[in-house]
Amino acid sequence: MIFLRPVVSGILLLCLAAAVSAQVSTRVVRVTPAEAPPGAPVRITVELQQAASIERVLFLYRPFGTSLYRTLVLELLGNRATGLLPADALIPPALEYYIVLRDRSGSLETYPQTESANPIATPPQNTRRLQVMSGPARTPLVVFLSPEPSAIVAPEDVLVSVSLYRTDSTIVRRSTKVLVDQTDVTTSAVFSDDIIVFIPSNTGMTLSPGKHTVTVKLFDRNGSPAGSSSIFFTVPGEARPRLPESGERRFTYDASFMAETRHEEVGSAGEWYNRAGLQFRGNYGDLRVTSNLFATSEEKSYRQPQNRYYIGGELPWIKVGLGDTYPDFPSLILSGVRVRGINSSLRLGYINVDVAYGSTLRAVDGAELARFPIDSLSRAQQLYPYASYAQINPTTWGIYDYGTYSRSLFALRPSFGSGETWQFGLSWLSSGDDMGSIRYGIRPQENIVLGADFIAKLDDDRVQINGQAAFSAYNNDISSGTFTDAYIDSVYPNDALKIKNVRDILSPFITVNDNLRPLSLSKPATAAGELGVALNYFDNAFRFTYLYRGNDYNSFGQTFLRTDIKGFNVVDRVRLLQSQLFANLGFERLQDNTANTKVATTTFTNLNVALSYYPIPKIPNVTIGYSRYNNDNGLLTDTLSAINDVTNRVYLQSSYDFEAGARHTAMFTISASKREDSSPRRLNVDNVMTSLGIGTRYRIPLQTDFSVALNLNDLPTGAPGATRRFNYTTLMAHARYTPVRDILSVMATISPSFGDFERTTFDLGAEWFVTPPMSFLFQFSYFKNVGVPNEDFVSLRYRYAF
Amino acid sequence: MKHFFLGMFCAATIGGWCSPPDLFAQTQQTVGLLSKVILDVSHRENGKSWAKAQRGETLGSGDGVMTGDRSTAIIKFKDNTLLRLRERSRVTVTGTSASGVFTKAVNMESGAIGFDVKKQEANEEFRFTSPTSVASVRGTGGRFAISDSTDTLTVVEHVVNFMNKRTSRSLNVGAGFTGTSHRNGQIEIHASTPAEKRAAEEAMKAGDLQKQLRMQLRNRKGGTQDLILDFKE
Repeated sequence: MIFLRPVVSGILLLCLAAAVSAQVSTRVVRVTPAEAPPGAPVRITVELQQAASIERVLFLYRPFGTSLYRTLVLELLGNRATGLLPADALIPPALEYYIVLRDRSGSLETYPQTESANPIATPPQNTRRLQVMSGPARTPLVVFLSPEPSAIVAPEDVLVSVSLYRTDSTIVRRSTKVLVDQTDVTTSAVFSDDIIVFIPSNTGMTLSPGKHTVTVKLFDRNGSPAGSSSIFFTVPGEARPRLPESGERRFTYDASFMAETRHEEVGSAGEWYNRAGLQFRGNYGDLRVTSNLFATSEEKSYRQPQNRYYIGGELPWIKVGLGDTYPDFPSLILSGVRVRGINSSLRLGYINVDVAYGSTLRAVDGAELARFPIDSLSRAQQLYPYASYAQINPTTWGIYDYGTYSRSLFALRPSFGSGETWQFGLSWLSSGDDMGSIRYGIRPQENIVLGADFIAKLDDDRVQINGQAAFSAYNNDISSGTFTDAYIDSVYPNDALKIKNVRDILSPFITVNDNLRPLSLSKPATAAGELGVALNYFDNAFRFTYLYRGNDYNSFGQTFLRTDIKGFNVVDRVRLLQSQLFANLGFERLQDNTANTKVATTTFTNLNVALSYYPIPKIPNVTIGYSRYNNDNGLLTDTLSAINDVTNRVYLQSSYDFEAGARHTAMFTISASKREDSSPRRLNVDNVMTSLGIGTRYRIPLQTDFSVALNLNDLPTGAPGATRRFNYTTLMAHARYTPVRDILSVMATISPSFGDFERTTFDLGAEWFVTPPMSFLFQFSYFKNVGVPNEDFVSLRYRYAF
Repeated sequence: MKHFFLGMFCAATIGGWCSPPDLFAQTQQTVGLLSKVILDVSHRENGKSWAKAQRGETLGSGDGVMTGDRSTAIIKFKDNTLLRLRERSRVTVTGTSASGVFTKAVNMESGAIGFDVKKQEANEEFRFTSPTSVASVRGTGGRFAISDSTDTLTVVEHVVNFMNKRTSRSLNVGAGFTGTSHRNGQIEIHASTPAEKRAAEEAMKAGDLQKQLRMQLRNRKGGTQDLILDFKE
């Protein structure tokens, strides 16, 4: 028996890969935003440290009133992972979430900490909350001083002026753009502190009779759009049809370049990373052009792509994109998957077509780690039970690290109707692994999905009915190819004709062999569907959803869908007391065992109740809530297969804005949950979390934030009924000072955690706007650990907008 | 790596050379702008001398605005509060803003102003001051005029707190009422006379473009009558 040292280390690596572990994630630095308005998509950003070893970042969330967690795969670029939460997830009062990081070895980390070994399949008891505000509307950031909205103004009297005094430090005022009738006039405008003034007549700009618009676009410290506001005004006189004149249609654009160098010291190893990005947005009349390029030194042939490329053009009726995109198809079929190829849409209203084609996985070849005689096989398997073995010849076996096949995906969706009042669509998805793309691989797969969807809106959008259905076929090992006649005749003599017919029909689309699912059409094991009805009447937002997902439903375009589940969900949100009081009610009943393949059927019954009070005039607003999650499969509690647990959770949250020498915002949160497990496993969990924080904005350009959070946990140890304590307290103090407004800011944070989890984080940063389009951002973080080496990282980012 | 740092510093140096940054520049806080200037209007920057005012000029804290005969100026503060300076009036505007809170004051030196103050946030304030009085406004419209011996505040909408500086006595002047504050410390309130109401409403609208349409109508007896329509646009 010959074992090479690299083999041993490789096998150990495989062992680690197989034995996933869930730990407290020390790599999530920040998750933003902490709150969002309902009914609109919101971009989630997770800031990470030691991101170079992270392969995937998952954001698992569940809207209010539901128990099923949905998975959002975040786009990881550098040390920041982002993704777009859909609007239907943002239901007041809050959305629960947790984050799972998977590194290259396959190990999983969660934020916050979980007791589960597989947090994707078994969500943790302790989760975070994204507040979904349902209170009074926020004050707009842009104040239009002149002209008044909808005013009638003589052309020589037009004076465009806006005030940005309500914007906070996240907005870079000097990057603000002003447009008059889509013409960027920013370079001709005068910036005076937080007021912008533009006089068209001073620049020779003529305003013809008719309607005109003024648009103000805001940008944040990363150069990303942070909102825009527009008003209309009218120049009196008879409006004449405007004929395009030479030079009247201008190509307007904005672009930004970013470069970053970063050093991370983890344990005793340090590593440098370099990244650069270029974003471009251009408009010419109705034509929009967008480009996004990102290159990083982390791009390696043995990893999935880290660089990103995209260029696209769009007119109101057609959109074409090349490069890395996230195609938007019905959620059962294709959602949240990056496709490198082409993604285009044709929108004619009465008929539309969406097409996506490209690769979703890059080929990463495996390796043969070692060879050994056949008589050493059993000993090797005892020593390394999680390694991969394959026979090379009758006397020799090998140990392998299997790679990843390249995978292509094609999706097509023709639809009828614009979607404003109704739309019906049909979808097709086919995806498969290329067996010839790597040398050392195992179980190449294929998948096809056929689906239909519809939406109908009635009574001015007060009634909405939507539904989708999909049927999938999945082959988890196509390496043996499609059945031959001889094989069918020998293995399935009784059903040979039927199987040959099915093979002949399906083989142009998918490989037909023993590994194909479904095996039978009598049970819809590979089908999935959803039906939803939403009603908005009498200050009630009511929603009913029925869902079904067969136990074998599989789509390569939607890899994190929970299957083997069916049931309904009802949510109602009521506005009371002139929108000062909101009551949220949710009830859900789901069952698994859709194909009757399990010992018993588990019923998941969930109840959610929440009250939110936003009083006027300002006194503290408060939200209280209660949730109960009951899982029961009806078996006697002393049987090993029994499932019988109940989780009760209560929470209270309050915030208060007040003035006491400066402007303060105080926030208080307390939540408690208790899981009682009556099964033989007795996996009981108790959790109490409370936090108190205060943010202050002073009259001098100084902002401070202080907070204290206490976490008390009793977690199962694995032995029935036995728990272990895991308690820790985290303090945080943060300050940001701007000695020169819009030019120089410095910030510092210190955050010690002590108790059963000990660590202290120090952050220093400085941001310098050299000129309005050019800025530098310096960051230094130091992590003082206990029991493991300390860590630090330093980065310098340069940004130029033009 | 060193080349990378070097490259970025070169870029910063070039950028700084082209537009040298004044790291320590403290920009004067802007409180508003002159949105309309009719005839003889002057503007004085804090600490400088009077100069002819231009439409669109921004006003910093401590700046003054002065109107001559038959002249009007409209000042817009950055929270959209509107001030109409009547003829032969002089004011100094001040204000501070931090973290979205904007506190402003107008010191009346002579003349009269019409005001339309937007509803203030809980911790914001708008004040009119004169040698005799202080008026605290939280979201109202009206007219404030001063003379050698008396300050007059006529309120058209909501309520204004009006205080005499000498005695520190204050009254709440509501819509349809006029407060009078005297140099000798007296302060009183009375229901606005029709003339005072008209003056207040005119002061609030001063500076809008008035137009007139005249039409000659013939009656059945063959006589003619003029129909005059005054309108604002």
